[in-house]
Amino acid sequence: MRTIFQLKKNKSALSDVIAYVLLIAITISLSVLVYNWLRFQFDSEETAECPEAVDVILSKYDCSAGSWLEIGLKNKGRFNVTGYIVRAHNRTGADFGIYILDNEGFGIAPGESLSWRYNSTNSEVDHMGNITFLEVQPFLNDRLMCKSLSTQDIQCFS
Amino acid sequence: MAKGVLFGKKGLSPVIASVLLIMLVLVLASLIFLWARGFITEQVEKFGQPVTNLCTSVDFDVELVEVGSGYNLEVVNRGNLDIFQLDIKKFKAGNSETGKFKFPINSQESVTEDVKITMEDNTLPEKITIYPNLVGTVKGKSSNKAIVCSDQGKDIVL
Repeated sequence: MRTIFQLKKNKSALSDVIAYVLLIAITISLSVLVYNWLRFQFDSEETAECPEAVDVILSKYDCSAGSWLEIGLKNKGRFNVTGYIVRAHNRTGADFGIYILDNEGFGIAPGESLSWRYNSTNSEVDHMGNITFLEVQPFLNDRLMCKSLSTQDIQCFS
Repeated sequence: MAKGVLFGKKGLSPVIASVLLIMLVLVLASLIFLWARGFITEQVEKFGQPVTNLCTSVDFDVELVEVGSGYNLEVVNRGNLDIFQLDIKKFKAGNSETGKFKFPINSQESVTEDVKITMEDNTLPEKITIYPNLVGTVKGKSSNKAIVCSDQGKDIVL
């Protein structure tokens, strides 16, 4: 019995006070850490995005390879479009355009159409020669680019 | 006898003890916080938010074109964010290798450059996946770091 009492008396352990202090300190520091990390992840402004109802289509085209290209566009969406980018390619089977024919375009209201001719004074029309692919990407104010594209395989060979 | 022993004992005032404990907790919390902060991966931000949040706004397209005995990579960036470079991950028979396409593709521009897509044993891969990289500023420092948008990869099957 005495041996057991002596064994219990000789056992060393952390003081309750020090244990509580350490626990509280760790809790506070970890909570501050997590708060700062979460605040950075979620406390940010949403990036502006183009509405999905923006829709400009290529309604027609006509061309003479290396000389001129005329395209017709129509706004079938619900928003005014500030401008558009017209890209083209001269490789058969291309999936998208890499040559920019027009970087600005014109504003088109919903339901409106417009036509525009790019002459050989446009360096890309002159440079590309044959044109096999066209795409039109609209943008809104502050050049907010829209993901909706209108694409068209065309045959404009010399 | 017991009373004499109790009256003779000295101790700390409870108020002072509480103040000391609270100060100890705060100091320990600060030390643990500063130590643990080193284990968190550095945060990279762009336009005031985590770069990874902007990955969904990346809008690009790629095409691999065989040119002679090599390949060209045609890339168009239709989004509002500049792409710093591309990671090219090549897959073959369960193995994968990663290469870089170290040409920046600025917003609304396109790039065509030759690219090495063969594996280290000079064979062609079965599939390649192309990931855009965005560059941001490391939070709290003045250095930049490129982050891979691993959810925005485009696959090309060869």
